[in-house]
Parts: sequence; structure tokens; C-alpha cells
Amino acid sequence: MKIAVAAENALVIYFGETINPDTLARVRQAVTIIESELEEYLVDLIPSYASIVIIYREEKIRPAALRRLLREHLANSETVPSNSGKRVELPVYYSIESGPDLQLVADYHGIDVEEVIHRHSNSEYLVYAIGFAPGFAYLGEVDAALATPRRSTPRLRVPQGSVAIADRQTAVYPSPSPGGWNLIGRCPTPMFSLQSSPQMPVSVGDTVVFVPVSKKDFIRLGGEL
Amino acid sequence: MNGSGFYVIRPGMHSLIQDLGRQGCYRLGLTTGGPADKLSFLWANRLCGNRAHSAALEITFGGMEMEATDETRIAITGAQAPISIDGKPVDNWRSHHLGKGSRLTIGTASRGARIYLAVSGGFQIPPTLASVATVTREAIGGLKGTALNKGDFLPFIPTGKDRDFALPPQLRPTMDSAAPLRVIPGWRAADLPRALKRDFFYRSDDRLLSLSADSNRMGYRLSGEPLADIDRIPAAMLSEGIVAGTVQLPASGLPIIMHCDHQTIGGYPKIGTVISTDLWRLAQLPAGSRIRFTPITVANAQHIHRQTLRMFESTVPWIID
Repeated sequence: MKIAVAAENALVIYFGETINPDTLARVRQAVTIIESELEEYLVDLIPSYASIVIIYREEKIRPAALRRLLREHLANSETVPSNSGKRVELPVYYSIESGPDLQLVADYHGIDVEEVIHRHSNSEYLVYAIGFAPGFAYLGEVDAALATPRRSTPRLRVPQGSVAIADRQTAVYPSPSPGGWNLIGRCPTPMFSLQSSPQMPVSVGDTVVFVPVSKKDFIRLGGEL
Repeated sequence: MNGSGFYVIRPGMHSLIQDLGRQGCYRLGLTTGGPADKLSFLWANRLCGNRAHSAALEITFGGMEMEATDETRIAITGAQAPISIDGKPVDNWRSHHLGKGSRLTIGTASRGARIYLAVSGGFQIPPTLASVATVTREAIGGLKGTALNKGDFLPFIPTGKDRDFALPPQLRPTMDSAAPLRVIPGWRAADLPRALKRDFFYRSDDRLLSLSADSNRMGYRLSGEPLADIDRIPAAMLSEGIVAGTVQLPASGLPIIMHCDHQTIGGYPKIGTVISTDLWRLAQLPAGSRIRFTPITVANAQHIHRQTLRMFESTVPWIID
């Protein structure tokens, strides 16, 4: 664990250098501890793969004192595995129609489309981080046999609900946006809605499983093509 | 709101409803938004007798025209721009009474880039996640998550004529300061090549980077000669959280200073973070401005922030009868 300055009112804690479930478990556990023990000093937290940015009330605590408290509270947490998050099933209509890069991903690895669908939907993914856009969850890790680099030219508009792969990460685009990931299907579940509570079906540390559904079920579940 | 408000006749190039921003939503991937020049924003509300968090307008580059359907008081701060009420030129950095049916015109900004317009009591707009701050990229805040459009209606609570307040010129924030941007070295700056850091902080005057026209509330891009040894940065960084002011170093070697609409997570190497008061100043600089960076400690940065806010709070505006 390493603590560095991030801004006049922010510190960043680094827990490791790689993407792996153990590091994520430490990040999640630290978030829980910081929220319960240091709440009075907090403005906001940004957890990611292996780090947490802590934005603090500079009028309430000096950075040196906060560092000390963080070390104190997080020192004992090194070995305790964090409790697992919830398991979320997300339906996906995999097809060329809903995932224009499905064939490209298959060709890239010399396998057929069915194999891509099978491998993508037969893995459990951890939610490693949320960011980039409201409700955008970074999921990992994708089967090495499906890892596909980002498109050389990003699309100007990726449709809402698009299920995509970039290297060994996968995600569902919560709203239409530009994007360079490879699109392999479409999910009808809203990934971010201000009207819902919670606003997102997933949070960092949850496990996501993609369940293939037919076009008919996709439409019935509220999906749009 | 029984019909009191402003009709937008000309929305200007990019005019946004803002308050102090949407706090505590980083974990949903939502940025804060809020005014790019917070100090000018605070003054606009103060001169109107409003609370600091009241909804006001950030008008980038000006070019706006509105009509009040009822009596109110407004205050305009920030960038210098010609302002008129019913065709009669008036000063900025002070409040003005507007009569029913008055037409307010804001011309093009000449010094500075962002104009702030507050209305007595603040614009009456329902908040989203406790804030009305408009973030167009997220389609959240304001009226419909967008910049103002022609025909929009901005409700306010009508106010009768009262004393007006002004801030004398010598107490106003400067709009075109050539002072360096102060940066707290941080993140993993220790791992960056020494020549790169030296070039970032101590570049000679004739080689200074300049503000790119391709800058916005999300980030200010710099153009010019790339930083030395940019290709020696250790590769493959994991994406991590970022905050306003964070200076990212993409492979181009041209830094990007993240601003009030910054995305919450980014993967570029970072050298440090511009202090908040200098971010407000940066928001008023025109494209092409030469940018110099200078290192500062956290303690000094906090001191400057505190002093600036204390100055704001202890300054008493002039009363105009």
C-alpha cells in the first residue's frame, strides 16, 4: 500500500499494479473501512482497479493526519478477504444485427460466432471500476481467447446497451456515446437511470454473468434495435 | 412558478445553468460540473444577495439576449463584455434592477471567456442528484441536460426594486493574468523521467506551451513542443480516479489539464494537479495563452485556497442607492 498526493484536497492510495480479484478485494474492503471510520472527513471516493482517490474536507483534517489515519485503519486489513458482492445476471441478445463486430471478433481468433457467444456468456466477470461515463462498468477478465484490441477508429455513436469487448475487458454501454470497443451484442437492462434506486444494477465488486437471450426476449425485456 | 422568468431570445454560444456542482456522485461515474471560474460565480450570487449554491448562468463568450417577464434583480460578473438593459449600456460586477418586460443583452466577451449571471433568489430549476449543474456530456442538469436554447424559459421568483451592490475594480479577480499555474506534484510523478519533469516546470520562455482552441470544461489541452522524454514514461498504467486540475500526459507529450467536467477515471500518466484557484483563472484565459507551470506544496496550495475564500467572505461590496 502506497499513499500519494492527488490534489490540495485529495490523496490516492495504491494497492497494486495489476488487475486481479485479490487487489480489487483490498480496494473494496478499504472503501468500506474508510467510509465507516473516516466519514466525517470525506467528500467523495473514486475506487478503481488497484487504487482509491480520496477527496477530503481540507478544513477538517490535515493531509498528514489523514495519511496516518488511513495507515492505521488499513494496516490490519492486508490479509482479510473481502466479502463478495452480489451476483447480477444481464440478458444479452448476441447477433450480427445487435453486435456488428461479432464476426470480426470471431475472425480475429479464427473461431466461429457461436464459440464467441459461448465463451463470453460462460464466464463470471468482476466489476472492477465504474467511470468514463455515468454507469459505465469495467468488467474483467474476458477469456484470453476473446481478447480483441480496440478498433483503430472509434465509432462516433455506439448504441445504448451495446455489449462490448476491449482487450480483456468487457462492458455494457449505459447510454449512446462514442466508443472504440468491439460490439458483440445488446443488453436490454438499463445500466444507469436517474429515476431508479439504486441508479445502477451493479457496483464495484459485484459479479456479472451474461445470459444469451433471443431477439424476441430481448424486445420483450425492453430492448431496442 | 406562475410564469415569472426569463425568455431566452438568443442563447449565446454555450450558456449553462450551474450551481456549485454535483458532489458525491463519482462512484456512479458522474462528474461534478459547477462553474469553471468559481470565484466569479460566487460573486455573481453574492451581489444578488443569494446563497452560494444558487443556480446561475455560465455564459461562455457571451452573445446572449433574454427578456424578463417580471421584475427582478440580476448581477453579472466574470469576463468583460458589453451589457445593456433595454438598449442602455450598464456596468458588470454589480447588480441591476430589471423591470417587467426588460430586455437584457450581453455582447461578446473581450477580456476573459466566461460571464456569470445571477438572478435574485437563483433560477428555480428542479435539481438532479441535489444539483442543477449542467453537464452536457452526461445530459444531466439544467433544463434538459443541454446548453440553453432559443425559447427556453428560466423561472425566477419576482423581486421588487432594492439597493444595488457593486464590487470595485481593484477587488475583482483578474481576467488575463500571465502568472504561472501552480501545480502540486503528485500521483506517480516520482516514477516519471527527471528530464520530463524539468521540462514541464522549467521550460524557457520562448518554448512555453500554449492553450489549444480545442479546450473545454472537460479539459484544457496544450499545444507546442512535446515534453522531453515523454517516450520514456513507464508503459501500461491502470486506470485510476482523477480530480479537477489533474494534469494528464498522453503519449503526444502535450499535457491536458482536467477541468470541472472531467471524466471520473482516466488511464494516462499524471504529473500533478493544478491548484483550485488557478483552475478558476485558467477558465478565463483565451486560446493561445502561454502557459507556465510552477511547483507548489499542498500546504501552500491549501493556504492560498483558504485565503482566497476568506478574502471573498470578508470583502464588503459597495452599496449603490
